[in-house]
Amino acid sequence: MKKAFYLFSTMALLFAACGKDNDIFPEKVLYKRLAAQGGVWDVEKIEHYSYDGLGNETLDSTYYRERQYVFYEHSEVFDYAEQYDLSYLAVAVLNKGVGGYRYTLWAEKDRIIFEDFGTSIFDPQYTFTVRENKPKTQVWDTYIVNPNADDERITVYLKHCPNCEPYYPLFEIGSI
Amino acid sequence: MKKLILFVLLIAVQTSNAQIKFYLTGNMGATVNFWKPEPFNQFVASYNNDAGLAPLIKTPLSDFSGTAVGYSRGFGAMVEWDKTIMGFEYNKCAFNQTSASTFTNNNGREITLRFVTWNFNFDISRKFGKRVDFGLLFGVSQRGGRVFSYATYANSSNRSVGPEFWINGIYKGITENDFNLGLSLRVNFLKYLALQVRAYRSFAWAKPKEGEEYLEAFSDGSPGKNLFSEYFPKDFTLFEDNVQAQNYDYQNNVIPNIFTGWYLNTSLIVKLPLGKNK
Repeated sequence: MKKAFYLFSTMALLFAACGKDNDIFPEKVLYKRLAAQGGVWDVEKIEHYSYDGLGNETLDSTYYRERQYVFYEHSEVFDYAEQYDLSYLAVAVLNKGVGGYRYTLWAEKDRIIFEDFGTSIFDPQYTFTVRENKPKTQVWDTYIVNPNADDERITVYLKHCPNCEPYYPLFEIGSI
Repeated sequence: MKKLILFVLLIAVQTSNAQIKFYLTGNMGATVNFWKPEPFNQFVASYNNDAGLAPLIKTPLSDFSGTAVGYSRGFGAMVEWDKTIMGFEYNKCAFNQTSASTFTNNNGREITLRFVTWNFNFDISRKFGKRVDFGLLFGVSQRGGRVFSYATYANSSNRSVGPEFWINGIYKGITENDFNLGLSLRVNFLKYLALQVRAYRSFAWAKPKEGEEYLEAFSDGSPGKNLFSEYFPKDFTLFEDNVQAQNYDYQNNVIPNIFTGWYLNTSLIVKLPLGKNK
């Protein structure tokens, strides 16, 4: 019986490693899905809604742009004298014929944050609430509160594009 | 390594002695958690009665219930000899509760609590008759918790955890360790199936000292989160007062993840014989 107890104790320790959520790095939970197969996503459309004081929702405008979001792990030499390597999760926002910018990425299951690299933590660039999370499509919302006007919602529709090449080489894309 | 091989061989020899039976098990069922949600209900009361918000609230936040139900599933193993059974079981269970309020302009706030437990329990039971096993349960649990605080716009499908309101966010409690003690009852009604009922109480390995609750509190450290709202507050009015006064006094206004309690688990067990059970 004593030995059987040891056997089960061993199994308990082995199984203890299973089934845990990624609590330590929540900001990487959705990254794996976003960066899969090249990490290129087409922005299909961007919708702008507004809400009046009665809660009525109005679609004000819809934009269709040739825009990509490319999710990847960015690496660069941070200090040429000391040769510090720096790598972080990044998203390149590429507009065809215009250029693009690179942001640091925080990708939780329910929240996406694009942040300017090197800016204050008080000043993120965009925070999205994940409305729909599927392997081939993503729908994200961001909201604007206007004290003296209607509140607004901006909804971004993304479609995964595994065979697409980024509009620009990623090493050419700088942060803002 | 040598000892391990010898040990496995020993088990195999004992198995061939026809006295010991091994099973792999799978389990799925429902778990009821009886807990004390008072700290969250203190937030609810302070939010609903806040002098600034109260006139704007059409539907107040409702209290969180002290009884939460979740779907549990997992796997394990069992060894049986003579009238004694020793089992190990792992299962995972999530408990969700939501409380929502609306303002007079049809916007609102939604608070969702999500607690997850990962349980590793042993039982030493004795057979009573051909079908019933009854015994003592003990084990450990890991318990994680999250508080989702959404602003809602016009309808509940429009939800935001973005920074347009300070209290928006996804607040995470660090994973806590508990130990469990309770009773286990198993009724074997088919050759490979059993119904299992377990009642146990979880106890925290360690509780935070007074003044150090923030070390185990629900916090949101995402980029752009304002430092004043980094921790989910216990008292909304005190939180607002601190913000107004620029008083970064979060230590005394947090909810630590200390929610132990009773668990009642009912599961269907599938028993797969391992080796040549006789």
